[in-house]
Amino acid sequence: MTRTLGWAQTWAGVVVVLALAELASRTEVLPSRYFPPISQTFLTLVGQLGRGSFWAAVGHTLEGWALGLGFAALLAIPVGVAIGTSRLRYRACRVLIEFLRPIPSVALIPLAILIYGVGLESKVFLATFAAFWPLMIQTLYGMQDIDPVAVDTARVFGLRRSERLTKVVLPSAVPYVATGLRISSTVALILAVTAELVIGSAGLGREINAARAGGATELMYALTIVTGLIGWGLNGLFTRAERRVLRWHPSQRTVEGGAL
Amino acid sequence: MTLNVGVIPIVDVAPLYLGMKKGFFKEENLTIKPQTFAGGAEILPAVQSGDLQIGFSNTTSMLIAASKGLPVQIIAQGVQEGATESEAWTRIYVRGDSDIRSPKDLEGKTIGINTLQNINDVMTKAALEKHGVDVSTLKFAEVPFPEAVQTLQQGDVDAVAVVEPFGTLAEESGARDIIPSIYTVEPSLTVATYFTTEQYIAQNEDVVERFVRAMNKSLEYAANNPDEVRDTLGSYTEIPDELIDKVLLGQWSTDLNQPSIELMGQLSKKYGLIEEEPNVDELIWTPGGS
Amino acid sequence: MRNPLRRVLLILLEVAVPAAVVAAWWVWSANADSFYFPPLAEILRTFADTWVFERVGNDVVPSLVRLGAGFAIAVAVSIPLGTVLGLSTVVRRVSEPIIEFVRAIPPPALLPFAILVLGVGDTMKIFIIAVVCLWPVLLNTIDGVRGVDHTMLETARVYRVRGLERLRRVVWPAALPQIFAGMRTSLSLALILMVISEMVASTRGIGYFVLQSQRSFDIPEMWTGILLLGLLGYLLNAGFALVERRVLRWHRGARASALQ
Repeated sequence: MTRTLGWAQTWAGVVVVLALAELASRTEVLPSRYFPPISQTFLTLVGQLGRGSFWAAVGHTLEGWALGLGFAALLAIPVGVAIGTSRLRYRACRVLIEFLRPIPSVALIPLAILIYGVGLESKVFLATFAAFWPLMIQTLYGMQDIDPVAVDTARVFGLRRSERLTKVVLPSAVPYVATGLRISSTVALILAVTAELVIGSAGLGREINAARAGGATELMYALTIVTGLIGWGLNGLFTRAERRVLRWHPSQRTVEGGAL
Repeated sequence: MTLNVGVIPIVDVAPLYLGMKKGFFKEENLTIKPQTFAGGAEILPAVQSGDLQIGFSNTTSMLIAASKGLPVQIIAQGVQEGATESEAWTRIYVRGDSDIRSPKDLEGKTIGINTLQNINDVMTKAALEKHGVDVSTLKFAEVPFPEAVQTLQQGDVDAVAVVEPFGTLAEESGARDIIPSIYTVEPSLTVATYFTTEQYIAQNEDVVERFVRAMNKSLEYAANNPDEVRDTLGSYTEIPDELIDKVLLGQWSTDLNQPSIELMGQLSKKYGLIEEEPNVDELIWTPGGS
Repeated sequence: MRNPLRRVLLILLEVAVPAAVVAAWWVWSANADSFYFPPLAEILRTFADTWVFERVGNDVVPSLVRLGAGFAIAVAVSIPLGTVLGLSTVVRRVSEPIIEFVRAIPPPALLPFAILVLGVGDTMKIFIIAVVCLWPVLLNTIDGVRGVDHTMLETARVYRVRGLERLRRVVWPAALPQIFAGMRTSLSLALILMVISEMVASTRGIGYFVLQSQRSFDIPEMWTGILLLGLLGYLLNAGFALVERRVLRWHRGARASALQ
C-alpha cells in the first residue's frame, strides 16, 4: 500500500513535467521545429532501442563513466583521508589543490588529445580529473567534521590514533564521502559525454553531435534524454547502496521514518 | 595499413566514405578508420600526437597553423565552394519578413557566425566588402551552425552565415538568402583539405602517396555520382532522409586550387587572423617533391 | 599546535611545495621542446603581456559577472528548495526523478535547449552556470536537513519552536556546514561552467579567450588562460573560506577535526 503510494508519487512529478513539455511544443510556446513534441522524441527514442549501434554507444559511455569514476575514487578517497588527517600534509598541498581544482577539464582537452589521443584514454582522463575534486573535497570536509564527544570517548577508551581513524573518523566521514561519490558519478558521466561530444570518442556524446550536425533535432533530444536517464538510473543505484551502508546514520533514519 | 582519419560528420567529407565503400582505399592496401569530431580545432592536436595520421580541416585553420610554425602539410583537396551561384553552399540568410534586402542593409546589424576569427568570419566580411559594405559597422555573434536558424528566427541576430544542411533548413523555415558568401569572394574556393604532418610524410611517404591517389579517385567519383553521395550521407551523418534529397552538395575535384588558398592567406592577414602570410608552396605537399 | 616554530615551519612548507612544483615545471618545460608545452618562462612573459591589464575589463570582468550571477541564483534557489525537499518525503519523491534526470544531462548537451529558450546572450550563459551549480548545494542541503538530529527536532517540537523559527534556529544551523560544503563545490563548478558556457556563442570572456587561443594555435596564450583560471579559482576559494570561517565560527568550535 505505502509502496504503491511512493511509486505513484515518484511518477506523478515525471508525468506532469512530460505533459508540460508536450504542451509547450504543441502550443508553439517553444517552436516545435526546434523543440519537437516530447511524444515524438520518445518515439524516436523507442526506434533507437532496436539498434545495435545505439546500445554500443550506451556501452561506450558507461565504460568511460565507470573507469573515470573508479580511478577518481581510487585516488580521491585515500588522498582526501591522507591530507585530511595531517595538518602538515594539508598545508603542504593546500595551495596546489586550490590552484588545480578550479581548472576546467574542458580547457585541458587539447592537451588530453595530445597526450592520450582521441580514444578511451582521453575520455577517462577528463572524467577522472573532473570527478576527483568533488570527491576529494567531500572526503576532506568529512575528516574535519567529527563529533568531538566521539573523539574524546575514543580517547578515554584508549583507542590508538590508527584505531581512532578507522573506528571514529572514517565512519563519521562516510556520509560526506557518499554524497561526494554521488556528485562525482554525475560529473564523470557528464565529462564522458562531453569528451565524446568534443573529441568524438565512441559513445552517446558522439551520436548527439552527429544528430546535431545533421539537423536531426528529434534524435538529438532523444539521445540527450538517454544521458539524463542513465544519470538518473546510476543515481538510483547509488542512493540504494548508500541507504544500505548508512542505515545507522540520521539522514537515512529520517527517510525510513518518513516512509512509514 | 590502417589510417585513422579525423573528420567532422558533415556533407563535405562524403567522398572519403564513398571511397571506402567503393573500395578505392582497399585497392591501395589502406583501411580507413574515420574518427568524428565536433569541430576542426581538436583534429589538429590529434594528428600532431600521431593518434590520427590524417585530418580534415578548413583552409583558414591550416593557414593559421602554418603561420604559427606548426609542421602541417596539405595533401589532398577536401571540398570546394560551388562553381556557379546556384551551386554555392555557403550563404547569408535573413528572416523572411526582414527589412534587409541587400548586403548594404546589413550595415550596423548583427550577423551570426559559427566561429569568430575563422573561415566563415573572413569570407563573410570579404563578401560584404565586395558589395561596398563598411564591415567596421558589422557586429558578429558566435552561433553554432545547428542553432543558427532558430537564433535567426527568434531575432537574437539579424542574419546568419551558414553551410549545408542548415542553408536548406533556413530556406524551409522561410528565411531569405541575401548573398552566397564564399562564392562572392571566389567561386570554387578551396574550403577544406586533408592534411598530415611533415614528420609523418618523412617516415611514410609511400603511404601518403597511396592515400592521395585513393582520395583523388574518391573525389572524382563523388563529383560524377551525386546520387551515390546522397546514399552515403545516410551512413555517417544523421541528416534526416527527407533533407538528404534536398541538401546542396559541395564541389569535389582533385585540383587543390592553389590561387584560392593564396587568396585566403591574403584575406586572413587583412582581417587580422594571422600576422604573416605563410608560403603556400611550402604548405602544400607534392609527391616526390621537397 | 601553538608552538610558534611549528607555525613558521608550516607556512614555509605551504610556500615551499608549490615553489618546488613551479621550479620543476620551469626546468622540464625549458627542455621539453614541444609545441603544446612551451617553456614556462615564455608562458609567464605572455601572461604579463596579455593580462596586465589590457584584457581585464574586456574578458575578466564579463566572465566574473556571469559567474557571480549564476552562482548567486543557484544558491538562492537551492537552499529553500533543498530545505523543502529535505523536510518533506512526498515532495522529495515527486521531484527526485526530475532532479536526477536534469542533473545528469551534460551541460554542453543543454546548450541547444538553452539557446532555444534564452537566446545566445548573457542570460543563456548565466542559466547554464546556475543549472549546474544548483545540484551540489541542493544535494548537500537535502542531506544536511535530513541529517538533523532527531533529538534536536523533538526538543524543538516540545518547546513549540515552529515554522520559520524552527528552520532558523534548528534546521539551518545544523545543516549549514554541509550546505557550505556544497557551496564550495559549486563555486568551483561555476568557474568550470563559465568556461563551458563561453565556448559557445561568445565574443568575450576568459573561456572564449582560451578557446580562441586553442583554435588559432596560440598555445602560450592558451596556457596563460589556464593559469588565470587557476589563479581566479584560488582567489575565489580563499574569499569563500573567509566567509565560511566567519559564518561557521560557532560550528568549528563545536566540532572536532581529524587534523587535531
